Amino acid sequence: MSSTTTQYGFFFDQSRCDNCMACTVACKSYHRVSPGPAKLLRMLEWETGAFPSTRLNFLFLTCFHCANPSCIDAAVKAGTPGIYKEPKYGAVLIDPTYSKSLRAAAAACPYGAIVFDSDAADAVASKCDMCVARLEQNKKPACVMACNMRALDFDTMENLKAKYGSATALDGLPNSSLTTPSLVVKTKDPKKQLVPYDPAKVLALMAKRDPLPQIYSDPTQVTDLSSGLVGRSGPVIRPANSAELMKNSRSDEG
Amino acid sequence: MAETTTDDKQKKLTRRGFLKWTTALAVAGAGVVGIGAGYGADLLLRPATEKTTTQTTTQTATQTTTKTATSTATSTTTLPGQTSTTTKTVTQPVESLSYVPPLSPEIQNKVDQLISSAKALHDGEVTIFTSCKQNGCRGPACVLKAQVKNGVVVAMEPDDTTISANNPREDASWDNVTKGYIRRQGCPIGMAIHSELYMPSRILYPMKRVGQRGEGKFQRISWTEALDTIASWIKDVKNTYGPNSIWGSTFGLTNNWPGQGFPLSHFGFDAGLTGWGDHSSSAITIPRTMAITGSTSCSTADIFNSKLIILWGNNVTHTEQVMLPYYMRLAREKGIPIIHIDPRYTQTSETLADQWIAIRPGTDIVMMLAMANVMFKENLVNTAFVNQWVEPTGYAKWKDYVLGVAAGPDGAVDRTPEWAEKICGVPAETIRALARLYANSKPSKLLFFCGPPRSDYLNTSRAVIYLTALTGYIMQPGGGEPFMVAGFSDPAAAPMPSINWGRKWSRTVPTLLANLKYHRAILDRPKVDSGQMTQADYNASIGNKSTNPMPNIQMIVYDANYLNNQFDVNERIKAVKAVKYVWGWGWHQGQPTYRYLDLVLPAPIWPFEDMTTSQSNFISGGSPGNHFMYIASPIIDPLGEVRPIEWALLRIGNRLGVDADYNPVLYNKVSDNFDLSAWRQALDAAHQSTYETWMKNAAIAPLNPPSWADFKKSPVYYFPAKIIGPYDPSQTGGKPFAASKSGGLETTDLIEMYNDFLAKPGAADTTFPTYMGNTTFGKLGQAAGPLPMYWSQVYGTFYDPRTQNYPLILLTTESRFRTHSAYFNVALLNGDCYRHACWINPSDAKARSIVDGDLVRVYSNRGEMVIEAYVTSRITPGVVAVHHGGWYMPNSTGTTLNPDGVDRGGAPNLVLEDVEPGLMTIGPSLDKGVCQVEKF
Repeated sequence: MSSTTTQYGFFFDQSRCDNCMACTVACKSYHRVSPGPAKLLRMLEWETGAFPSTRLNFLFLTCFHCANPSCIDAAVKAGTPGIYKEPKYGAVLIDPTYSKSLRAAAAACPYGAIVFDSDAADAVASKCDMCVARLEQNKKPACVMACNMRALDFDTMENLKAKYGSATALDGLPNSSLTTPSLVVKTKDPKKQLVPYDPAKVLALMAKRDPLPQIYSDPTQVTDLSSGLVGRSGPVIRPANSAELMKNSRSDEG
Repeated sequence: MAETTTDDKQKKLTRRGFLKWTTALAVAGAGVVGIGAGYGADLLLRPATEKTTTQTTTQTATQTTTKTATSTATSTTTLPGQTSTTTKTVTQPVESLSYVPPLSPEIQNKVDQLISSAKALHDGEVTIFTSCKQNGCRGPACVLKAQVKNGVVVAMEPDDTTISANNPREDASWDNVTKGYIRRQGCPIGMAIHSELYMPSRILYPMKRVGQRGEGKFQRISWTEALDTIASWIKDVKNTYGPNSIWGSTFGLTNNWPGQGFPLSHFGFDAGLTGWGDHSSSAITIPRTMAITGSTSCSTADIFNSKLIILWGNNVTHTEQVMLPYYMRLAREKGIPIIHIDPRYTQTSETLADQWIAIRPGTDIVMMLAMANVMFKENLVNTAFVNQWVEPTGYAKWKDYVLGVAAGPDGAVDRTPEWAEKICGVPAETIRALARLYANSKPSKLLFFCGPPRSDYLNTSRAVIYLTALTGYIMQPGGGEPFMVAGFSDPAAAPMPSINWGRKWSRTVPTLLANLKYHRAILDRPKVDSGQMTQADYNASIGNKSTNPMPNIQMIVYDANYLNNQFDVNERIKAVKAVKYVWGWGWHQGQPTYRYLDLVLPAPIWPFEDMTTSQSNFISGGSPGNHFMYIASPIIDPLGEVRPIEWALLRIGNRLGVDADYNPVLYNKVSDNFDLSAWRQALDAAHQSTYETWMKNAAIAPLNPPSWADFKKSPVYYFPAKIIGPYDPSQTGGKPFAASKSGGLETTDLIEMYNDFLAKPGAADTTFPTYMGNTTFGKLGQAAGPLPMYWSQVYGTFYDPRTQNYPLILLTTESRFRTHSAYFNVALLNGDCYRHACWINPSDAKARSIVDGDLVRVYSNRGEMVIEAYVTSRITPGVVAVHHGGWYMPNSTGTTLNPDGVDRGGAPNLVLEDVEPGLMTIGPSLDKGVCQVEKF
């Protein structure tokens, strides 16, 4: 349906990202956002697999300025103005004046992109504005320019697709056919066995500390991961509340 | 301690409650007056909703859109977790407004207003370049844009203009990569540092203690009183206790100081002692001196010549966030295989490495010996190289040891992969295959870091060099020695400008201890005085030569949060309480060291208020890079009565009669009445004359550097790296391992595998010069011998017998969000980006009924702390980790282990113990020890 003249969007190279969070801090700094849940941009990190076959997953999560923004539809249906898609960049913009009535619109976003500065009824809503003030100065968004791994890019969707292809699917991200997000991605790399490394043998070796007592008696103690045991074992795209948002958008690297 | 708001017995603290509690502590600092509480705090708050002021007259609850069909279609799509709102009956539009293009005129108007208000947020901002340049960062001195409005730093922004302007990917040009023409736009810390400026906890005035040491009760005093008091204390302590009574910490304010100890000790009032050793990289640089004399420059881009890169305990993503991880990633994208060996699966393992190999901490030497064993047995040694460059007697001895011909401490054992796997936890076939892959991937780059040699640096750090010698990679492009410590040391095409203040050094400050042993020097001195300990034993125990005079420390000058950042904090607190005077600089209330000072001077926030303490405002970066420099202009006027460190030292020096020698350029331009504009004029003049002299340098002139005036306007200047490989003959004069440079630790011009030095009687009492002072090991401790070997049951390692009581090994590792303990209190980082937690494997967690997020007590016989658990399969079983630099934030309840209160901030050095001086050249930022963890 989009009749925007130009649609800009993001490129996220998951294979390059090392989740340093410089993008999220640059975002908060540029937009003067206080510490807390009003994260216009979230970096999600979660682990999969058990020792020693663990993997880390990183996800750049913000408003993807969809071609079919479900937030606007939901807002309209709820009889609430306050979210608009502007034509120059295709940015979906939010008017915080209407914060109180935007919970339904927020709930409609598959990416959880509309965030509130608290769980209170009068919380202020906000979301990524594509750094539209920077765009007006011919500068790319703060997050993109802050990326130390050069994992991000920003351009017209046409240029991004020409440069990076049109993949939009990443583990954890909702199906792009829902809202046609303005996003192109590259998925993380597979691991290689440059040298043989047998996890079962590793688990057997790591159990023992001769002549001192065993570290664990059975490898399943290492590999059985019951729900809730491990920190961040999956992506939480649409957190139920501020605490869950905070918990799932930080790392343990400090 | 000051007031607390939490009952220690309350075990179910929520995270939010916990944060509130710790924040309260940080701010409390009971009884503090004179702090500009709340100053500028509002600047950190989001401006009130950025509302448009225009009346919205047209829309009410009945607003809808012309694109009804589309919205209906979308509303029927079920989204994960979506509520039933989609099934609600939709009010039909009573008028048509379009919220998506083409927009209705009213909506277009609103959009225009939103864009205007987004722009207005930045109206009136001026960009001033700065860098954070904090000790503890191995990054490239990033180019940071401080956005200043009305004299207030309102935001940090990434550099998007000085190079590769507006080009986020940057990888179009390999030419730029090899030259180092790549942005240094800042890490997460760099994007948050401005928030530290305006925290209510900042110390903005000189303060004098009014309570007990540790209580944190202070009152404001004038600068004149502070300076007079300090000078009188210095005179008193010298007169009463003699010249060896003043010890100053290093590496804080006096970063880059050409000599250690309290800066004024180097001048004519003849008091003050210093220590050797740093809390940096000496666990690798000292053994390197023994084995190969030293390093030579090597371009970072040399990694692209490698056929294999092994990152051994080298967590690049955390230690050098800006640039080097990107370069490593480019290497991987070029198809260069990368292996990461580490007890933890980090972002380095995920993003940079093809493969992760888990290893038990402290057992790296075992895997290295087994790799050497395979290489000897399978004829994988580069014999031509070895014949030319390796000292043959030592080579034969080490080979005999590795092959089990000669005995080690555990007897004569063939050090096969099968022997190693039981100790280090890496399967024999993995070790064997890696040895072959390494030897056959010509050349390979084996990059090591400060983590692995925590407890047996003399062994691990030499053995890893010998792997690069057996293969000959050490001198080949694409190879090199393993300790390209700060990543690399890219040779610059030209020297950087540096101000010469013309300091007139007039006193050699005696080196009388290992710096990390200052607390033992204080606590054990009475034992000598009372005849319980001999002078020789005392000196040996603190790393002092037996015949040297003994220190009699009665004054400590802290120039950083030193007390918190080294092992055995509780013992250090005892020592601090035992001396006559303790004073120094402080940044924040709540900072652990600050609480113990008798007098505290307000410290500037470097990137914004003053950078003179590192000699000048010319900044050049680490690698990759090292090819640019710029001047960080004073960004804002210092808050409160914050004054430059150099000024304070000059005014103290004036009272001691040494200011004219200390800084001949500035001494007669200052008085007790601090004049900011005169100070800046004087600094500016000094920088200008330095710059204009530098411009005429033969290496610089052809690069056409900008004029001083132009440079000040655009103060970032890039010039290209020289592209060279390691041990380039042009750098080494044909003798890269020349003994003459090694201060006696090495005796031949070859790579030495057997260090005679350590075989001689009295070796431990020999003094030898190193970059970090005249070193005397004193007690060598376990695990020190002329050959690098495996010593089982070493103190603090995985096989320490005390693991029967304290079964877990605690690693303190480098945080991505701090430099040492700096920025621990920055709320844009701590809590927002990360949780400071104790990493624990699911097996160890289950055994203790711990799940992620539980509060746990981490303790040893040295101390204890309470912290959240991070349960993760990313850490090897039997190992836990707490990142270095967490602050000791005690509650009010003293315990036997922590007399000043149980830690609720998470300072791992409370739990870690002291070690023998010979084993402690490694600093505290990468330490380990035994501990136990239990659910709190």
